[in-house]
Amino acid sequence: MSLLEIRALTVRYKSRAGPVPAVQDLDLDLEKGKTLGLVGESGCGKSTLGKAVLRILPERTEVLGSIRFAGKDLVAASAADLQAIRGYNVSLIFQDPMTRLDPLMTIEDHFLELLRSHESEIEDDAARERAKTVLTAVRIPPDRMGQYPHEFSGGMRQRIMIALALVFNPTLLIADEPTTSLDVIVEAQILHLLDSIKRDFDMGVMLITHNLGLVAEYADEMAVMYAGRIVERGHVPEVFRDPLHPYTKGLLESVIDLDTKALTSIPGQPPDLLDPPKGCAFHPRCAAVMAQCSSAVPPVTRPREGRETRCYLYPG
Amino acid sequence: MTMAAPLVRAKDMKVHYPLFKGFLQRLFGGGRLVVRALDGVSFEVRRGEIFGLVGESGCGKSTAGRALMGLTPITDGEIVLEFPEEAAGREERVRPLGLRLVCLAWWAAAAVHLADAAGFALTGSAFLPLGLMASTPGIYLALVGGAATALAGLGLALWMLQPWSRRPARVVAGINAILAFAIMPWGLFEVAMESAIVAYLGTPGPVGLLRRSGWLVPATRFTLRKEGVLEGAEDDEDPPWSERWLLGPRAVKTAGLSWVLKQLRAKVQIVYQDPHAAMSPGMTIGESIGHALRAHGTSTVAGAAAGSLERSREPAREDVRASALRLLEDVGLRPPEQFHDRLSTELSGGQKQRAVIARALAPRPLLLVADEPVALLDMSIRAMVLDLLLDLKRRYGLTYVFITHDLATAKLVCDRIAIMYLGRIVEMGEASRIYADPKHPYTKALLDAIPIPDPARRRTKVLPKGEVPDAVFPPAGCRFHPRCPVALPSCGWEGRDFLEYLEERRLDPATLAAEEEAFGEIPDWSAEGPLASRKLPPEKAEALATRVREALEEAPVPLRKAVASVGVEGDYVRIRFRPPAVLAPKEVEGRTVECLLY
Repeated sequence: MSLLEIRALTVRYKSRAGPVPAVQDLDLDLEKGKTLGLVGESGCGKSTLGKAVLRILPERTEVLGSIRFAGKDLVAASAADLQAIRGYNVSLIFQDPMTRLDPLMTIEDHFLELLRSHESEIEDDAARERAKTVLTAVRIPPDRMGQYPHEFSGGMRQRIMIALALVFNPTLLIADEPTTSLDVIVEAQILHLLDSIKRDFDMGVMLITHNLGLVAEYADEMAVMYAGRIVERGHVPEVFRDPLHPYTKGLLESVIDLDTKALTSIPGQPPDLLDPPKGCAFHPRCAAVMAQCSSAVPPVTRPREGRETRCYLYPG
Repeated sequence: MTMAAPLVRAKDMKVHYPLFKGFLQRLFGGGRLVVRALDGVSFEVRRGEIFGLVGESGCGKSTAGRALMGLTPITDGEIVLEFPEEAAGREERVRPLGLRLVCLAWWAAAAVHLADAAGFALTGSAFLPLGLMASTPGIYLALVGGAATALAGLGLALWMLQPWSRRPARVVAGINAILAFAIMPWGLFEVAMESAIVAYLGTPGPVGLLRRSGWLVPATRFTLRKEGVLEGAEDDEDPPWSERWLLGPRAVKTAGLSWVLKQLRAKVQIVYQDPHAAMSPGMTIGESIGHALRAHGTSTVAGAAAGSLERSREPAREDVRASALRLLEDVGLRPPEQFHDRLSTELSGGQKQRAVIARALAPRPLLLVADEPVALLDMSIRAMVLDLLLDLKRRYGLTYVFITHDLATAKLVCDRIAIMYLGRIVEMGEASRIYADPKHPYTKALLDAIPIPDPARRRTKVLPKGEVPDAVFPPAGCRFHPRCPVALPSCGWEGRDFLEYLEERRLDPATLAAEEEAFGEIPDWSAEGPLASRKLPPEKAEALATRVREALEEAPVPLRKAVASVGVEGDYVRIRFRPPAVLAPKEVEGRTVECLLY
């Protein structure tokens, strides 16, 4: 059984202009001890998906389908059940470590508050010991625990966030752009850390990012999202070696790295989610567009072993 | 690449942002801490090239870009911008303006004030219209008024000139506070009085004289010079101008100078990272661009690409529209008519950035500072905007200063790059050489940290430890030394590096208790320059010194070898470090490197 099993998930935000389908008819699996890279550009729904797993979406957001975490359906779960899972079995690391820690609380206070939220009986000393253990795991000197967030650098704050996420030994960690606001060296440091922690704690990690380089370096599986749908899924080396969907191809070509010789990009603009193109949402920007692309959304097909895509180029 | 003439020369440029603690400290000094955003940076930008300023956040790359166009006053050093004659020839003739003359004018004003005051005191004549001279109190009033006028004139002149501006910040703040509280109100009173008298008598007082002569510039606290250089021209009427701008320390903060700076801004424009913040949401794209066109008087249809630009003072509405449309067309917003009347909020990120670029091009700049122009755009459209920038450079004959944290993008677009770290340039030269064979350990680290989008080439990276330190207290010697994998004992090790080493030793949970037992809490220690010390009663000190020596034996080699002595001095255990070797930029294989390895 997968650690996380998402089936036919649809998430619609309410807005004045009508419902905004941020995630549509999405299937996804994540195994224990693996890292899933979820890539896509802004507005593709990757963050919404991460939040949907923890059910921390705005009220009145419509969530359909099922999200099974360790056998339990999170879509149908009660508020109390969700509260017991959040931060305890499933943890989330956000993009901006500068704003996620309370500036008026010391690091120790953060740990005490978090530990008491799930283990109300815990003694102060025991709580401090647990905090020290995770802080050394993320290489923060534990005797700095009495300090306030502003006394730490950006990378250290993100490591503290990771330590907070790890304190209950969760089985699933959702990292939503964990290094976007950090510099390239610190980014590499943090992801190295996450990678080794994943092994030590035997967690499943969902790494949400727009940076294909990070997926190539740290993820085992990957899913590419476009306009709320997963357009391609597979093992990282295979997807990079042989991308199927034209969007994945375009995205891989438009990455600028040290070996890039010429600039390539995908023509056109990202879709408007309020009024997405009919059929395959990518068809107005697609080089291999066919007549049927604009009529109906292509079904999921498995053209290769362990690969999935949504494109008429690969019928069944 | 041919060696073109430098357009920009920055020499030993420093920008220190003062760090004030509060209002009182601001007034009376004491806030002497500064953020050393730029600490001695020199580079040249040649005509027609793309010069990259590359580094992590806090390295000073954006500050350098802003300083080039006078957006951020520099604390020390010098920036010279020299625009070639043919380009300057497109400009209407601007009277060469030495702002030192303005300073002189203010001194003259002060002198007139003093004379005026003497006149007051002797005859009280200026008060006559008010009918006060008839009485004894009137004479006293005139005397007091005269003295006040003299003082105010002097105070005003002093405030404008700030002859003490090079004194310590505390002194500057103190004197300014005294002036502001004691003299400036008199100055204002005096100016009001003067105006009243002038209005009543119809004869100009000193202020009026100044105004009439056109020299009333309300501030002179800067060194900003624009010189018209006459190059072998006989005809005085229409000489081939080449322009030279000198931006010195304390340049330009005052609103009164905007008209001088405006002429510089027409030549140097900036494109920021965030297109959403750069465009007014209440204006249509056409209005935004139109503002820039009107402000600089550059709306002539014919002049667009040809360079034969006439600058008219009052551009016609149709001309502005036509120019804006042409710019929109040039940045690829087609059809331009449609984008012209749209609000910026109706555009996607990529389109907005194109509009921002169009607006930056409106004053016909020669130099464009592009500060992370694609960092906020989605991967699939980054390349398009970069392509556009390269294309525009060719068509408009631009020179770019390209600021980025992304070494991969810099490799693709830049001719020459400067790698910056904490306010210094660590390596600078032809981009191709630096990427082929980076010399500075920091450059190597940066290149190694870039994720490679190819799972087949996964590798273990050797990353420098820690993060960029605080620019308020930059490390001694080479600023990169605490993180450098190949540091030498002479790189600038100091007291706090020892404390950091103590902290690192505590990361092992097994020895944590023993460490605390032996060395105490980290805050018990203090580090000051080359010294690290802890206060202890003498009977315990010797034992601690021994422990420190033992700990240093296990320390990384450069740190250990940099220690001059460990000993007990009175109540203190002190670790003393050797002074760092002198670090200076060196020429190494066709580029400049600042590192002791070479």
